[in-house]
Amino acid sequence: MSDVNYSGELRALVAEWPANPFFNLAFEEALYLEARCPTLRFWRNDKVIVIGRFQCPALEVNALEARRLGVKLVRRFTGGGAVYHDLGNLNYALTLPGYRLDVERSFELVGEAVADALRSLGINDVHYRPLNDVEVGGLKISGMAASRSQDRVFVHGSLLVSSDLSTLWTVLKTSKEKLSDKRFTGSRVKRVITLSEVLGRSVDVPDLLGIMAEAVAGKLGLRVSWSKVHSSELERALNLYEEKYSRLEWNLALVDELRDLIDEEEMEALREIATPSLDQRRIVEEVKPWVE
Amino acid sequence: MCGEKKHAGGKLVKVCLKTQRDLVKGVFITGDFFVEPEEKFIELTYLLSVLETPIRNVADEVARILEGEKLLRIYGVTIEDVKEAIHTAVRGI
Repeated sequence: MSDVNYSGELRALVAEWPANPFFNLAFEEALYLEARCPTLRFWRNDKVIVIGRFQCPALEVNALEARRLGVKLVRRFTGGGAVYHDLGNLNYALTLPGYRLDVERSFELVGEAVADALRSLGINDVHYRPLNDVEVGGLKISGMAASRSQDRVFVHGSLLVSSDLSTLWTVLKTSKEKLSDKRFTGSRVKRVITLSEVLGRSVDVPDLLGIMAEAVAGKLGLRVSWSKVHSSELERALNLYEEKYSRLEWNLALVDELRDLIDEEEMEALREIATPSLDQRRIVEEVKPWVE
Repeated sequence: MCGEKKHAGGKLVKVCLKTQRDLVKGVFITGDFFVEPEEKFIELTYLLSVLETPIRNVADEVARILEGEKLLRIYGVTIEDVKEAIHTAVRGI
């Protein structure tokens, strides 16, 4: 699986800026580019829609509702679909330098690890479902996205722990086509489920970190070693934030092509939710001294 | 006008067409699929955005272009799904 002989450790870290999802997504790509050993990151976002690399935000997002609810919009560098993140989501990202896995095998490896982690919590009916989902009782509890280059593999995803599903349904546009192979409960389509719903109790996100890390390390035959952020990763993330993730050219890519279909009010809302606020910019200013 | 197609158990592709009279003057493919290599898909996206062809031919023309991209792999949707999404978009014009 790997061409590189590491120390046998999976570097695990919590690196999160929940109030600035633009920077969180910049750090995600920074880890993909900068990690020098197998690295597993855990992080959370607060109130943001994260769209896939090849999605048009105008087709995926109810921008007016998102603006009303204070929900931001950011594009990630990997493919896949739009997701809503709040503090009830646990996000994970695995970078494997030196590994040569195709996209399907990468999803399987991480999907099976997430399923193992959930089984260790006493959940039985949990399965990795190709291409990029983990389901409990046929309902999605975790979705993944991936990218790879010649010398590395990257898989990230989010686990619904106690997310606000009503906001999720309000801010995401969901087409009839998308629901065509999903399960219906009464008159309402039921597509996703949270860990709290499955267990019938509240779940603390920090309690899951060790379980998830051990499950991923187990699949890779590595030992977990908890670590901190490196300054080179922060520096790369700051560059990516300034040049890409804080910019409308990135977050609203593909919108110009469909401009005729979007009214001015919606366009204004899209611009607003896809731009970091002053408070969010301040958070990034606080990061800068760590790399200077 | 836009159309979409969900591959059973797979991903969703959305296709929007820019038209003028009976001509398509740009095709835009988006969705929650995965592609490899991404650079190839981005090149293809540009090519399709300036594609000019009669509306009646657009599905076959896009399929022909996709079939010609031997190095491009799209995970989760097929060329047939893209064609179906285009047919839906054309019906809405």
